[in-house]
Amino acid sequence: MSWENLIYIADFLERSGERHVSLLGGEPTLHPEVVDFILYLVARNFVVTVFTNGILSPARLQEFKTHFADAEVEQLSFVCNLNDPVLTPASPGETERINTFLSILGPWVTPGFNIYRTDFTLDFLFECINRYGLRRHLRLGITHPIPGKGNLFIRPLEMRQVCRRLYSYREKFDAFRVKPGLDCGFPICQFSDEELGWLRRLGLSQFSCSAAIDITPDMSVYHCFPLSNYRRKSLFEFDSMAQIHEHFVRIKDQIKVEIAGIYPECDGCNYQEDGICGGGGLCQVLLRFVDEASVRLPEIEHELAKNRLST
Amino acid sequence: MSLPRIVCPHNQHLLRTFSGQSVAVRVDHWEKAAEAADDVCSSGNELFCVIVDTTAPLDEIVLPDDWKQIPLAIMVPTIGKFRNLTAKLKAWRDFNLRVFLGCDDASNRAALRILSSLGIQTCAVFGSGKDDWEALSDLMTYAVLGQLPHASIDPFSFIATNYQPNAWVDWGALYFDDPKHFLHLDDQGRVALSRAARERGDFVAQSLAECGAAAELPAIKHRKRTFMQYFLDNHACSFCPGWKLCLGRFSASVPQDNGCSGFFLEMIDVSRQFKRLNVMPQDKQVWRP
Amino acid sequence: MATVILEPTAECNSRCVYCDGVREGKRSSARMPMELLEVLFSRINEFLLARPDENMEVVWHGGEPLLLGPKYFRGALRLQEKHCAQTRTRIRHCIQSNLTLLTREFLGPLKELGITGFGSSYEMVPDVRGFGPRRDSADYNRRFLDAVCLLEEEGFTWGVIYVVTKLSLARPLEIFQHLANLSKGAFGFNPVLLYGRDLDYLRVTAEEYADFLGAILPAWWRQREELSQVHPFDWLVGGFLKENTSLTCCDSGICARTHFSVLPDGTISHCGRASDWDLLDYGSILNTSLAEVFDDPQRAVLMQRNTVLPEGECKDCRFWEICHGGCPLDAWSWAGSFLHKSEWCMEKKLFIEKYLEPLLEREKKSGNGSNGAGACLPEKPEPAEIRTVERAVAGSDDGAVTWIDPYGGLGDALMLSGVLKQVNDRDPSRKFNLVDRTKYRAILEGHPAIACIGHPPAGAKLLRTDYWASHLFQVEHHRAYQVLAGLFGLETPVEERLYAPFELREDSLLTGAIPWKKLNVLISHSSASPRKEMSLQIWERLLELLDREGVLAVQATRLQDRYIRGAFSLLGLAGPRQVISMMKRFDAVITSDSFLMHAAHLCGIPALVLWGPTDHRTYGYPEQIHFQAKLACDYPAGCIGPEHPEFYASKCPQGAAHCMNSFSAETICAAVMDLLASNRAMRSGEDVWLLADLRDNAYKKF
Repeated sequence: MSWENLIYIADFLERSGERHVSLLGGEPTLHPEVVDFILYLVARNFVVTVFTNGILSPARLQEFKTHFADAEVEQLSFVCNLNDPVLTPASPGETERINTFLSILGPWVTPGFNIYRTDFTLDFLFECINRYGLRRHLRLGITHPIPGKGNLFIRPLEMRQVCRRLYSYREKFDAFRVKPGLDCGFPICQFSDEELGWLRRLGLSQFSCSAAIDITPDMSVYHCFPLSNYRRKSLFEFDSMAQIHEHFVRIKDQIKVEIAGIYPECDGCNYQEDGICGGGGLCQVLLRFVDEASVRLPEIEHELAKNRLST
Repeated sequence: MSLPRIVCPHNQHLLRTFSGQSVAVRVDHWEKAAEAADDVCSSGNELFCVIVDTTAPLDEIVLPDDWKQIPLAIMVPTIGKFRNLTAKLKAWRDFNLRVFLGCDDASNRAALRILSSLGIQTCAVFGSGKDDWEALSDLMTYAVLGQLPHASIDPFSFIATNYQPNAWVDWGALYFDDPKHFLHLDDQGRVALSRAARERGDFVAQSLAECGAAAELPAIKHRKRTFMQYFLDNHACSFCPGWKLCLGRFSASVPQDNGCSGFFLEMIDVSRQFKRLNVMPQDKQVWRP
Repeated sequence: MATVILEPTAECNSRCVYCDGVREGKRSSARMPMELLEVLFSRINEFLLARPDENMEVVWHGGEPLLLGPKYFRGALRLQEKHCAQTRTRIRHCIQSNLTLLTREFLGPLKELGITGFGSSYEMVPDVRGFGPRRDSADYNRRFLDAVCLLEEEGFTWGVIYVVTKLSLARPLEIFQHLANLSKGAFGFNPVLLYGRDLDYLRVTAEEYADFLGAILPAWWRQREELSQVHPFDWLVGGFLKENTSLTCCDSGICARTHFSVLPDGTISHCGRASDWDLLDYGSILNTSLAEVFDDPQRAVLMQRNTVLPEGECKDCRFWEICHGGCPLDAWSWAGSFLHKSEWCMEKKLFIEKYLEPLLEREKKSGNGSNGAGACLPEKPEPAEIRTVERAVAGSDDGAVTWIDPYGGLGDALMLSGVLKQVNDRDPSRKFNLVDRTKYRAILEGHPAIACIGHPPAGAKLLRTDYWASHLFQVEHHRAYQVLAGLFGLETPVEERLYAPFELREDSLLTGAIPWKKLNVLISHSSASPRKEMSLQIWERLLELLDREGVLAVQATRLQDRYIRGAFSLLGLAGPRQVISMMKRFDAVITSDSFLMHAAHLCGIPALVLWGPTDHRTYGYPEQIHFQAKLACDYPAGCIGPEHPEFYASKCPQGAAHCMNSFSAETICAAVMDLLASNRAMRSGEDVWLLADLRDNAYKKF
């Protein structure tokens, strides 16, 4: 991303009344100007979150230390997606870098974890939080299917298992005062009342699937990362974030006219109608249209065909 | 005698050779700015601004808080590292300063946007013959029609604000290059009509005393009529739709590089849009020629 | 306004190549003596005193008027002050000059005469205008530009006329831009007027001049707001578009009433050319008053043009109003008579027809063709390839299961359910799959004719249920149910039975909450199409009346439907299955054309159905009461249908005058009470049928 585009985006967001901006990737810390970009956004009074894997080069780490840690920049936070050291181990070099990153920037870091299998473990995360003083909030994401990519993802029938497994960590969550943050796509019906009660006490009440608008270096916007190839538009075609949201809400509604959610019960579900639950991830729904006969709305068919999305 | 403003070097002796004038004093290091300002005021002249013409990048410049009232024109080759500037820029928003940056390279063009978006008034310097006119167009469009109010980037903001459909806009004064508004002195007090003329040794008078009423100075009169030669010669610039904003300023590179024509045509279009949008002027006014 | 073209000298310091005076040696050195000028001012004063509503414009012309020197103009000023003390505010001076002799000394007296601007000419092509035998145009232009600088410094305006010659024709846009740059918008074009047989290298024809202007037109058009006074575009385009009615003397057709010229010796003529050609001599200023000048019978010929030409050469010409046959002097030059049109009228005609009208057409099209909705609409997709089988044939060829691709609302789903049941009854082995789509499971899940609900693979056999797209549906009043049945291979007509493939299980919590009365009706105000909805006010009035009759009204449709005050609300609480399950608890249904109508038929509950844009003969069931509104709009056959799919989701533009609001609550209430009574009668064994066709807000029993 260039400076011109960054400034354009900052202006766009500010004009739209948005004060939060997240830097993602790929790996955003690889961008040669990432430090200056972050400082610029902070100077513009944005609250900045950087999503990173924590594997920073020593030089980059030193820059972060000097300009963020030592400077105690308040408007900045990091979400560091950590992998299970046993099930998905990193190389020794990478592990060392991650640990160094956490040791320097821990207080600014929220740990994140992507659930892509039902037998996941979270113990290592509590250890990280305690050891490096990370923020006591765990961002949990369900891996979703990216239409056309054939990636590993959690299927609807596996959701219940995931919810149960998550709840099995309740004691640790409570003991270490770590709040789970559920990313989009968790359907409310897969939690028992007891599980929901626990989450509700922690302030979680939304299970929706809403547009998390991503802006790419080439100034495209899309609904969310799993739908990054579905009906992208150029940022320049819009005048505000509200317009972008409106556009993607219309797209979501079109899909929902066809299929209400990831379960048959989503059709007519009151929670969905009341906006409490999104009926699972939109990407999961869209996945079903791939390789289907041409029976959907022309806009959907056209886009799927255009991108030659297939399983 | 009523003269235009005087651009002169920081030379106490020279400053005392005249009085009652509005003076833009030149220094080559920012540390001397306050002293130069004081010297102008104590010489019986009025300070217009201090021109800091330095080879140091902007991030090395330190401006003490008590300099806030000094009108500063800071001419730098680059801004240096942005990370070294961020802490300063917030304070500099309250200063009466304008940063001049050349536009020959992409990083400086980006820097102009950065500074402008962070509330620092700037002036883009171009016309070296190596201009990327398309990139300048982008910068100009941002300067005039940016989505959000931001500090001005001259000359674009100036041109758009002063654009009239059937009038010429002469913006040379932004760069102290307009003898109707500025005369340039060298260390010996010799008078030139522009910085370039001074550097060439092209003087129109040996001293200010010789100038009399500036309007009558033949050289100044001649300069006022320099545009005539374009029409008399049927120069390509006289047929260019961008003339009323350019006034032949970039004629040296025509016809090898006609990018200026497209640029100023677009500038006219953007200025019209600006007028239609009735954009309000900035609340904060820094010094202006 | 009366205009005097004052030629105080015929002398000129320039030798413009196309000037008649230069070419024919008519430029004498005579100058109007002050005494004659004095007479002129007194004549002007006399004229204006007799005409309190009249003004006089004095155009200082020549030759070159600045040859007279600044003293002359100071003298003119004195004379005006002396002789026109009462009328000087009605005298306007302007000046045409080549500017090459202008000095600062002229500006004072000219300013006092009220002159604030100069008209001039300019030529960038060398050797056309210039001094001396060699026509030094470089020196000429230098002095001209010096003068322009002086004028601007002193706050005067100036403008130029560019005389278009053959030498200009190759560079119209360059010349246009050069003039726009130099004069800042105050310029115009005239064709060179040459009356001899020589100078062909300069002469332009009307067609060439039209083409010259036409080449410039797009550039001028783009900047027309800024260059609003560029002649002839301003008055030609403005006149054609009827935005500007100010015409030049050549085209106004009224110069006979307004113009005269005075030569250095006091001779009065019509204008400069008239005097050059010894035409229209009105006498001398010494012994002729201006009133006599304007009453001169020679002017009558000029005035006759306005009656003769429209009946003759200019008959039916659509440009008459902006041309009037052109300059009478041009006409005389061309045809030897004033009672002809000018050859230059062709220039206007060509310009307008060949250039202006096509440009206006293009502008109009580009203004209509843009997508005003902006960039956020989905791209118009390529039509997807759909392999569709219109009619399912019994004993399909390849044995592959057909996928039903369902369309329409819940009512259509109920009809589909009924049709499929009849298909299945005839042949229980015949099964279909159903494409999974929101809202259809509620009606069709568990249907004996449906093997599974899911996603058809690519290449599957598909059968769409959008019966309204079938040609059979276009037949007037062809029943929807029958068309749908036909799509599935049933021999029509068939009995219109609906079918619910699920167990009717009442939600006792919901039904237990209803404060049942002796008579209870289920109502539906809303529909998928807002055009089928009756206004809330009428509904609320209806419920008020029903309440007085002791009837409870219950609303049990979608959560987002508008609540009708007076109803018991179960909005959003009962899905289609629950509604059907509890329907038997009600005595009647009042609804628009919606799912509830079909559900009432399914459950055998009497219904009163309100119709407007759709027809009861297509959808309604015979045992129900149908109130069909009379349509008084542009769509007497109904506005909802395959011909106007775009109307379905939109509100009726008639607003309160919408057909669905033509019903009265009192009439509906009366019908409902009758229905409830007959229902009781039916249940008690009496055979009473009601079919109403609403007229004059009263229904009739048939």
